[in-house]
Amino acid sequence: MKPIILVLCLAGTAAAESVRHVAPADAVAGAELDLVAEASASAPQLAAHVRIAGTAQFSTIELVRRDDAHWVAVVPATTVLPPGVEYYLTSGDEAVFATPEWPHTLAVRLDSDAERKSHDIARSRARRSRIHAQGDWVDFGTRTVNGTKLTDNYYRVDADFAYRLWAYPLEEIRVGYTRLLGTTQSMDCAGAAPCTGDAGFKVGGWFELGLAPLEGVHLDTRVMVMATSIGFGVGARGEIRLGDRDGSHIAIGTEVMKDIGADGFFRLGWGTVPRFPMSATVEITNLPASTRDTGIRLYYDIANEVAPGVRIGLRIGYAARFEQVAGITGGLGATVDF
Amino acid sequence: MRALVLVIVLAAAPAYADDEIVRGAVVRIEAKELYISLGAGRGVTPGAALRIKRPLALKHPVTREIVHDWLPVGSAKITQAGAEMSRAVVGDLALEIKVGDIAEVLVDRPDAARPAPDRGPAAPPVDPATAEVLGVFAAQTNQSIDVRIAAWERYLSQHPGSKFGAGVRRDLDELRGLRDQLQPPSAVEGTSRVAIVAHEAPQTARPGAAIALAFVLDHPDRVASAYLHFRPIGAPTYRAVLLAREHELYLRGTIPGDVVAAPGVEYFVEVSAPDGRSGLALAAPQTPIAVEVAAPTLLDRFAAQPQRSSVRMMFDSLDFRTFDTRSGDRTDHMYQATIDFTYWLGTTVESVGVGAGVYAGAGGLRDGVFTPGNEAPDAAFHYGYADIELGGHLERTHASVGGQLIAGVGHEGFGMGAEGRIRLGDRTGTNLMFRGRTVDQVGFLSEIRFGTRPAQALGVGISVGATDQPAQGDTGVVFGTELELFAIRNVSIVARGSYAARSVAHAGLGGGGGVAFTW
Repeated sequence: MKPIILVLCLAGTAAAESVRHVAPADAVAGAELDLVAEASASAPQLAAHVRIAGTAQFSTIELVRRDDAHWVAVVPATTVLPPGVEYYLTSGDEAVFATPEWPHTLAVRLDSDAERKSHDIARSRARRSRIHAQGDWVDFGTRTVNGTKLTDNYYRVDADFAYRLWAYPLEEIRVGYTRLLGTTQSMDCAGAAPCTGDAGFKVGGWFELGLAPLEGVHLDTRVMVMATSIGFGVGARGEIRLGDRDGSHIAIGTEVMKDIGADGFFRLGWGTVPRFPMSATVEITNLPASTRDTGIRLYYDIANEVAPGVRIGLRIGYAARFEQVAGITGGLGATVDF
Repeated sequence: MRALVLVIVLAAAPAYADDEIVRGAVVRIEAKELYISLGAGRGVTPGAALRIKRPLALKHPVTREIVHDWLPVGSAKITQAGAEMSRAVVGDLALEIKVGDIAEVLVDRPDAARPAPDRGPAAPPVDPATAEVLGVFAAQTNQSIDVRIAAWERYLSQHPGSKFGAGVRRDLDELRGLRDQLQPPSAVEGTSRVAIVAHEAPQTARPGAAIALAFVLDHPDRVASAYLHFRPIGAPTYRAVLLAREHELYLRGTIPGDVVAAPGVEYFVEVSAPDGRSGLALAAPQTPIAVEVAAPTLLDRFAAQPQRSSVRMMFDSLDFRTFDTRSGDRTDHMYQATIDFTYWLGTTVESVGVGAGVYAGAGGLRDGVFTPGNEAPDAAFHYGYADIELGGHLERTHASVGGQLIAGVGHEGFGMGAEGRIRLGDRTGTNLMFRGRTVDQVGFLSEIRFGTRPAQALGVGISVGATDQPAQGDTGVVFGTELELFAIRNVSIVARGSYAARSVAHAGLGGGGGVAFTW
C-alpha cells in the first residue's frame, strides 16, 4: 500500500443565477445604446449602472425583458458621449458583469465630421468668433536721383471678423476692411525727372471663405473691392496652409489688387514655444503700385497670449527693391477670440 | 454567482504496508541509460519500479518559507542492480533527466509496526482569503508544472488584488522559468482551441487610448486562466497580459494606450485548462483580430513637439587672392550670411524651412587686375528662401531630396534662384550630399559634401565644390572643412575653414562659423 495524499476540491456555485452579457464593441456618439443580457425569467431584477467616462456618478437603468431569455437596457443618447461610457450590471444587489470599482469602458466614436469638429472646438477652446487687426509699415528705402528724393513706403491696416462655421469643407467665413496708402515712385511725372506720388486706397472691403477639405489643410479664398486713386478696383487673395494658423504651419499664398500690385509669400510658423507662436515669411511684392519694381519683404512675427483669447503680435523685418536701397518693415497686431 | 471552493484533506498520513520506497539520485547518464545511487544493498532488484523526479524549492504563499517539492519527470524499471548502484534503460526519457534528479525505487520490506500518529499542535485558524490560497497551494502537491502554473494564474485572475498576489507572481515567474528550461518556450504553447469565448471586437480605436476588452466564456469550467496577447500591427512579437476573471463567466483586460497607434493593434486570447493544457480561445497568432487606429492628422503631425524646431545662423567668407603674389589689385572675395528656421516633421516631408540671407562680394576673375576707374565688379544679393526636404529609406539607407526657392534683390533689382540637393545617409549622422545652387546676379555653386559624426558631441563635414560667385565670373574650386560642436544642450557651434582657387596663382583662404539652436 502506498502513501496517499488525497485532496478533494469541490467547486460549486452560490445561489445567484448566471447572467450572460456580451459587451458591445463600441458605441456611436449621440445614439442610443442597447445593453443586452441573457438571463432566465426568474433572475433578480437586472440593472445597468451607466456613466460618462470620467464622471463620478452612475445612473441606473433597469433592464426590461425583450423575450424569454433576453433583457435590454437602453442607454439614452445624452449619456453616450466621448470618450466613452462606463457601466456594470447587477442582478438584485449583486454585480454580475464588471463592478462599480472596475466598470467596463465602452469607447464612443464620432462620425468623421463630428470627430473633426471636436478637434477644432478643443483647439479653439470653443471660441467661434475672432476679431483681428493688423497694422504694417513697409519702407523700401529712399533713393536720391538727380537731387530728387524718391521715397518708397506704405502703410497697411487690416481689420476683420471671422466666424468659425465648422461646416466642412467650409470652416470659417471672414469679412474685413483694408486700408493701404503709401508714397512711391510715380510713372506720371510732369517732366523727365523722376517723381513720387500717392498710391493705394483708403477703403477696401473683402469677404473670405476659409475652406478646409481635410483636417489641417486649409484654403483661404478672398475677393476684394476697393476705391483706388484711379477708380474702382477689385482684388483677390488666396492662401494654402498646412497646419494650424496659430501654431506650427506652412503657408503659401498670393494677393492681387488692381492698380495696387501683387504679392506672393511663403510662411513657416511654429508653435513650439508655449504661448509664443512665431513665424517667418518671405514675400515677393510690388506693392503699393502695380507699376513698381518687384522687391522682397522678409519678416518675422512673434505673438503672445496676454489674456485668455487675447493675443498681441509684433512684426519686424526688411524690405528692398534693390540691394543698395532698403528699409524696415514692422507692425503690430491684435487678435481677440470669443 | 458566488464560487465556493472546499478543500478537504481526507488523509495526509501515509498508509503502512510491506513496501518501501528508497530514495537516491541520478549519478550518471549515458546514451539512453542512467545510473542511480541505489543498489542491492538497499534492496533494489532488477525489474523494480523506478520513478524520476525533479526537486523543486518553492516558497509557501503565506509564510514565504522554503517548501521542498518535486515535479514528475518519468518512470522506468531497473535493468541491472549492483551492490551500490543500479542501471536502467530509459530510452528517450534520458533527454529529460538530469544528473541530480531524485530516483525512487519501490522495494519489498517486511511489515513494520505502525507508529502512533503525531498530529502535532492544531493549526491556528485562518481567514477565508488565506484558506483559499493555502487550498490552491496544497492542491498543487506533486502536480506537473503546467498544472501548477494554471492553478496560480487562475487564482491571480480571480484575485488581482490579493495580499498574496506579489508572492504568487514571483513563484509563478520561477515556475515559468523552470518550464522554459524543461521545454523551450514558443509564442503560444498550444495552437489547438481548448475553449470558446464570445466577444464583439472593436473595429477602430483612438490613438493612445487604452482598449478595454471583455470576453464571455462558453464553458468556464474548462478554463483556469487566460492571456490576452497584443501587438501593434507590424510588430514581430506579442505582449501578453493575464486577463482578470470576474463573476466566473467573464475575462477582462485592457490593451494599454502606449501600443494603440496607427495603423492599428491586433490581439488574440490564449487560455490554460485546469490540467495545464494551453490553447487558443479567440483568433490566433497568425490570424489575430485587428483594430484599426487612424493615422495622425496633418495637424497632429504639425503639433508642437520638442526637438523639432531649429534656428541656424551662419557666416562664411571666401577669399581667392590670399596667396596670389602677382602684382596689382586682384580683389576677389565673397561673404555670405544666413539665418534659417527649420521645422522637422518626421514624415516623408522631413522638414520645411524658411530663411533669409545676404551675398556680398567683389571680383570673381582669375586674372583680373583692378585700378581706380576699373574697379572690381561687385555684387550683392539680399534674399529670402523657402526650403523643403523629402526623404525615406532606400533599402537600409536613408535618402532625401530637398530644395530651396530663393527670391531676392541685387544691384539690378529683383531676382530669383534655386537650390537642389540629394542626400544619402542620415542628416545628423554620416551622409553624402550633392548640392547645386544658382542665384540671379550672383552665380552658381555645385558641391559634394561628406558629413559624419565621429563622436556624440562632434560633427565633421568635408566638401569640395565649384563656383563662379560672387559675380558670375570665372569658375573656381572651393575645399571646405566644417566642425560642429554639440557641447551644450540644444545648442551647437560651427567653425568652418576653406581653401578657394580660380587658378594656381589665384587662391586663398576663407572661414566662417555659426550657431544653431534646437528646441
